[in-house]
Parts: sequence; C-alpha cells; structure tokens
Amino acid sequence: MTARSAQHGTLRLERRFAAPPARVFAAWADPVARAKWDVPGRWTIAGQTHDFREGGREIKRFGPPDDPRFVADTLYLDIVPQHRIVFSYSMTSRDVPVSVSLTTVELSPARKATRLTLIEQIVLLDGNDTLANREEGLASMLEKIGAMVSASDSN
Amino acid sequence: MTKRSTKHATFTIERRFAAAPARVFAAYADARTKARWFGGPDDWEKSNLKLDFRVGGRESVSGGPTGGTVHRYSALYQDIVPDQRIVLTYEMYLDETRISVSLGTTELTPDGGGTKLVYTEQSVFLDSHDDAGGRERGTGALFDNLAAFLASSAVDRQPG
Repeated sequence: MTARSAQHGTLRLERRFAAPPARVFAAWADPVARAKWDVPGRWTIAGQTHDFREGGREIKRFGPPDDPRFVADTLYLDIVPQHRIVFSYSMTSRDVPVSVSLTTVELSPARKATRLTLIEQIVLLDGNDTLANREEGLASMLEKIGAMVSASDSN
Repeated sequence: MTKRSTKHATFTIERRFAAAPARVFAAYADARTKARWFGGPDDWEKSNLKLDFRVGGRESVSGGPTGGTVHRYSALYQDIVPDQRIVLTYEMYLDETRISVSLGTTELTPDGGGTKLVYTEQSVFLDSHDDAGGRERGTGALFDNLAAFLASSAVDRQPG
C-alpha cells in the first residue's frame, strides 16, 4: 500500500526579460510560443491541447523523449491580459498522483523590459517529487522564455 | 481601473472528530450530505450544492444574506484517496467579482476511534478583496458545522 503524504510549499521566482509585457504574456497565450518552452530541460512535449481562457482546461503529456509518462491537467482561473495569469494544474505519472499546484504569474513593465514574478503554491503527494526538483524545472522553463522573448525582440 | 494585486497566504486547521475516517469522508462525498454542513450562516439564502465528486469533477454553491452580496464557490477536484485525502482548487466570487483562488488539501487519519483532520489552504487573494485571517475564520466555522453534523448523525445511528 502506498504511504500517503502531502507536503506543502511555495516557490517564488523573479526574472527580468528584455521584452515588453505583451510579448512575455504571449509566451502563455500563443500556442506556437508555448510549445517552445513549456517543458523543463531536455524533456519533450508528446501532446498538448490549448484552451487559454478563464475556465479553459488543457492536457499536456510530457517527459523524457523516450518516456513521456507525465500528464499535466491545467485549469485557467484568472487572466488579466499583459498583467496576470493564475492557473491550477495536477501532475500525474502513469496515473499516479505527483502534485497539485496553484500558480500565479505576474508581469509588470520595467522600462523597456518586463519583470516577471512566478509564485507556485504546491502540494507534493506521496513523496513523488521534491520542491528542489520543481524549482529547478520552473527555472529551466523561465530561462527558455527569456531566450525566446529576447530573441524575438529584434523582429 | 482596478488596481491589480495579489496576496499569497497559507493556513492550516487541525480538528479531531469522534467519527471514523470513512464517516468524515462520506460527509464530503455526497451532495445532500455535504449541503448539511458546507455553506454560509443558517439565515443565508442558498443555492443547491452541485457536486460531481471525482477527480476532474466540479462543485458549486452560492448564497448570501437576503438582498445582499452573493458569495459563490466553484471548485475542481484534483486528487481523491477514499477515507484519506481530498485535494481541490476553488474560486470565490462576491457577486461577479473573483476575489480569490485556493488550493485546499484535506487529510484524514485514524485517531483512536475517531479522525484527525488536517486542512491546509494555500490561497491567492486578488486585488485586495479578502484577507487570509477572514478566510481562516470562515473555514473554521465550516469545520464547527461539520463537527455538529457528525455528532447529530451519530445520535441517529445509535441502536434502540
């Protein structure tokens, strides 16, 4: 029998991107842009639906290229264009619960750049993940967003 | 224009009930049973509680004082382990304004012949519409209702 546990934590990451808030917001809102960063490190997205609106649900299958065993089930809760995105998502691995998260992304203009604050409130289930691992994953994705939005800045 | 802001907060409430985990869990799992204890004050006008108690299922209920502000709750069930754990996210609205979004974890463990319940809520309060202290007090009142409901339904079950 699985030993049940629930570990609660809050991760906070702040970044400054050399692009206006509208371009950073589009990293979530635009499916083409999102496909470029919405998975950590060298993992790949095996399938992803898009429904970016308040009340919208999305399913993403992802993981190592040879084993996309994870599923993220996202619900968009609060969206203020160019300013704020609040969403929840559960993560499972072959139907085994890994975590449930409530994520807040806030964007504010900083001269010609954008200050991004990501706060993820998370419950890790049954010891199937760690806060350090999740923070590393989020940092990896924000790094990809940074590279993407500054590269498109010259367009 | 609304001043945009967010405030993040976490609180934990721990209670003990003189009822086995299966009975406490059952108080969450059925719409008519949950409506007996989950909602605002007795003198509020309330909608029917709608509940689809399964992972991916939704729940909603609303209510408020007659002629006053309508409080609306809308939840999504994220993880359910029978008799042990319920994880959900929920939105609260005052009339049409979303005031908060929360991640709520309810953990049930056997405690003697009863149950220890630990509820952890991780919340985002939007645009200064609420505060964590008020939410914690309101949630505590729900658990008072749950304790009273479990006590009254225990009396019903006594033989003779």
